[in-house]
Amino acid sequence: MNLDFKRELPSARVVKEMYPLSNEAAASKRANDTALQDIFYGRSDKFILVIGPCSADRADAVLEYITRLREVQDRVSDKIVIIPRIYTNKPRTTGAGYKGMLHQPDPESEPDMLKGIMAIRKLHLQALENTGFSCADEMLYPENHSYLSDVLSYVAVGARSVENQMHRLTSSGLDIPVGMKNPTGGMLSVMMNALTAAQASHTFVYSGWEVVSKGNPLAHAILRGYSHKSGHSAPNYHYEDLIFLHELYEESGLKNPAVIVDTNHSNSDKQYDQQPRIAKEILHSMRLSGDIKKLVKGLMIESYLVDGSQKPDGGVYGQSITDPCIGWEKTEKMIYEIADLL
Amino acid sequence: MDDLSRNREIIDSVDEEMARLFEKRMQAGAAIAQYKKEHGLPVKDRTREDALIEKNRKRIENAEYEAYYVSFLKGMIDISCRYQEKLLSGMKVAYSGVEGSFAHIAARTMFHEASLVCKNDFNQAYRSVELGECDCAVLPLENSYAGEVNAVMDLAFQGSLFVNQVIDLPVRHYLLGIPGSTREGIKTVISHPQALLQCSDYICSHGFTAQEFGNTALAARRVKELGDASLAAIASKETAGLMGLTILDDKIQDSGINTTRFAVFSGASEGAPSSAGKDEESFILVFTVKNEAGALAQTLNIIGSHGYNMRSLRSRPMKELLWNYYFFIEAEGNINSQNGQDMLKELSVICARLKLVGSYKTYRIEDNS
Repeated sequence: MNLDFKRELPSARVVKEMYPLSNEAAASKRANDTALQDIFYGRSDKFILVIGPCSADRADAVLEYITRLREVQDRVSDKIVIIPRIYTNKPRTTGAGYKGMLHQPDPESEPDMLKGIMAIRKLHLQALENTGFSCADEMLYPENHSYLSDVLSYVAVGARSVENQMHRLTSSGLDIPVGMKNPTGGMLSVMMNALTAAQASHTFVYSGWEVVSKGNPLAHAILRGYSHKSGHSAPNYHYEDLIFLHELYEESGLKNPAVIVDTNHSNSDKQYDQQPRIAKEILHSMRLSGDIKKLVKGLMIESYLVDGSQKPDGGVYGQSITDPCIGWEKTEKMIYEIADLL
Repeated sequence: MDDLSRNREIIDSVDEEMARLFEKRMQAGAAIAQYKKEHGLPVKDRTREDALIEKNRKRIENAEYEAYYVSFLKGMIDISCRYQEKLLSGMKVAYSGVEGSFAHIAARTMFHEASLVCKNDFNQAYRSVELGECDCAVLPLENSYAGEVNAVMDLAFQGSLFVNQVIDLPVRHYLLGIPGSTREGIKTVISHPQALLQCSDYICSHGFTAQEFGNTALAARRVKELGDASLAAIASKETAGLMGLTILDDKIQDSGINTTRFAVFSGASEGAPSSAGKDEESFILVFTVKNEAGALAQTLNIIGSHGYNMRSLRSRPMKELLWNYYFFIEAEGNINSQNGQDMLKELSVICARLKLVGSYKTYRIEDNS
């Protein structure tokens, strides 16, 4: 191997001891988890919004954003359950570019994983302590989930990871909803296979241990659009796509059929400002079909304080340094509109 | 009313107001003196004074008054310092070493109004503060003359005191003889072995015989007692004054100026960041690590990841446990920041024992020779 073993990192147990959860925060997470479980098990018909920046590039802006979300959540709590996105690690198509707070706690400095691990735990912890939100993050490196397992309420497995065995097996060992995205090529069978794996029990190696998972009945689909072989984006949020997914679920025998629809990525062709329109179309399909209404549990929205995106050294507070997001005003309006339409 | 009377009335009312403000300022000064006593800090704080003058002069709108105002302010600061020194004159500062030793010089320069209390050893000086007999103790951190400086580290590890101030004292050697003696007549020099070593070129080139002595101040006393015009001591300039010896030669050391460092130990931790700039802040940590592979490396990784530059890392055996060691770190940076507090939080999990011995800025005693 040509790895330079730079330094041994503290274990998840140690890092959790360094930045422990207060009893109050633990209670908030339990309440959030229960609210989500009720929705996925069909005991509640509240609508989920997994919403927030494409990447959590700086703690101050992310915390301000989440604090604002808290107010909105309190106003729509009869209809909507908000799970803020704090995405601390980003998959990159060629591996180049900003890889998220985990790698670069300071986006303009060299990677520092030790600092990064502390930074992402502190950020998730602060969000939970300050606002009562236990948030969503992407499961990019399955073993790193241990550092955050007590603060997250939702995990997404990305389009590039969904075919990976380790992601599927790790998902089967979590007690929180895991959204598994359709792959970039759009093959829904790949996603359905991932769900089958995630809902079953497995024996495997995790963090140097032989472990047995119980299977995760809360593993569900995320439709995020896809790319044609010609390269252009194609959406899969339309009525027909949702009916097709419903049929796939019917044949599969999977527990708790559910989908979260991603309104950005290939569904909007990254035209971030189309997200409110796409959201309304999905709500419209839900009104037309009882099956779709039962299947669609919520939306995933990319949103931040400022519209659009910038280069990592752009310096605009609250603007995405990865994919473009809708800004705060449009976000707030969009959430209230969704609440009205439900 | 004519102009003269009117303006005198203005001055009267301004003076009345200023008298009240003066009292208020002096009261604040007294409170600061009390704080400085508890924390073992010197009355004079050059950085703070400069910052104060810099900030206040900008408040003067009429440029013509500015120079007068600065001079007024300096006078005010001077009065305040004198008052504080008077209040601190009852302060008791412990040190270990004879009069004229570097510990004595450091203590006197820092606290020149305080009464200095000489103790037999570092331990007694340290305990005298813990027991409330003295307000602070000036003890060497790095000092080739003080012998076992390690003992001070052990006290820092085991004891309950904090360091809020470190003093850098430049050490310059002088050749001291009895009054009436001359350099040409000297045959033998006596001093602490380290001092002799640092002046070895000088001693060789003059053909002196060197004899080792317990410490530089005692060597000077010996020269005085024997009254031998062929005998000289190598010691500080201050020692010459104290012992009534004559300086026969200066700049006798082989290279440059050595610096010895003293820490002021007191019962209270300063906690809040001092007026010093961020870059000037340093801190001392002592800790033990769990007895497992890579435990020390993990600790150092964490310090590094918080961006603190370690100036020194020393290890010392723990007296109560054979083959167990504790570590003594000095690092640059402000520990009373969020970053510093996070680092302590992280370290407290992986260290078996962890203590912040102090955070301080360094007070450099100018070399006035």
